[in-house]
Amino acid sequence: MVMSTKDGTESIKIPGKMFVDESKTRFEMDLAGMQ
Amino acid sequence: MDKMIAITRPDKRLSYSVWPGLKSYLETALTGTVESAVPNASKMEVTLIGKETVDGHPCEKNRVVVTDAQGTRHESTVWNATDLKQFPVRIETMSQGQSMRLDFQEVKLAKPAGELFEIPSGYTRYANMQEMMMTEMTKQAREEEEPGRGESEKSTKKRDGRKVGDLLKKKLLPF
Repeated sequence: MVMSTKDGTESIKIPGKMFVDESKTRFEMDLAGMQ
Repeated sequence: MDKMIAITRPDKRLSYSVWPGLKSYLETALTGTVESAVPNASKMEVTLIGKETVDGHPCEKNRVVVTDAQGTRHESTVWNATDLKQFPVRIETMSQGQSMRLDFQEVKLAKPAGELFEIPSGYTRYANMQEMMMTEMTKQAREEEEPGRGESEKSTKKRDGRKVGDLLKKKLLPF
């Protein structure tokens, strides 16, 4: 998965993996691959 | 510090920020709107607004409004893939002038292993980010005083530290 955020003119993209089991979640952010 | 893992455990009313590179984690109590994100505590309205294809998947485009236990409305646009049992392959939200989009690829509809939602053994727990950074930076400073340490590793740590700082400024990390 990729999380993209935009705040005015600034934007960040963070690649990662997400796991969900009912209400439990795990989001692995790959900070080295952040743009 | 090239990887950070955010684990949410509403069943324990806790969230964790896990830093594998530091073998460390922060534990935070879930309160307010995050705690009320437990499905049973919220009301959800779904309205079909169109049909589109995302990443090759035929999708129903829905406007989703979740009203939490405090009465706060959280609005999102969600693309549910009809060939993936309505899995939301794209989610867009707007909050406080900041837009966020999640795009999911290589979706697997299988139950994840239970240990993915637990803290690995041997990790150090810190009460807050400041305590963790102070302790870990002190450790790193001591290590860098040792002779024979490579320059490339030092510069990687500095670069990753800047990235973490950027995320903290944008409130993308859960602490």
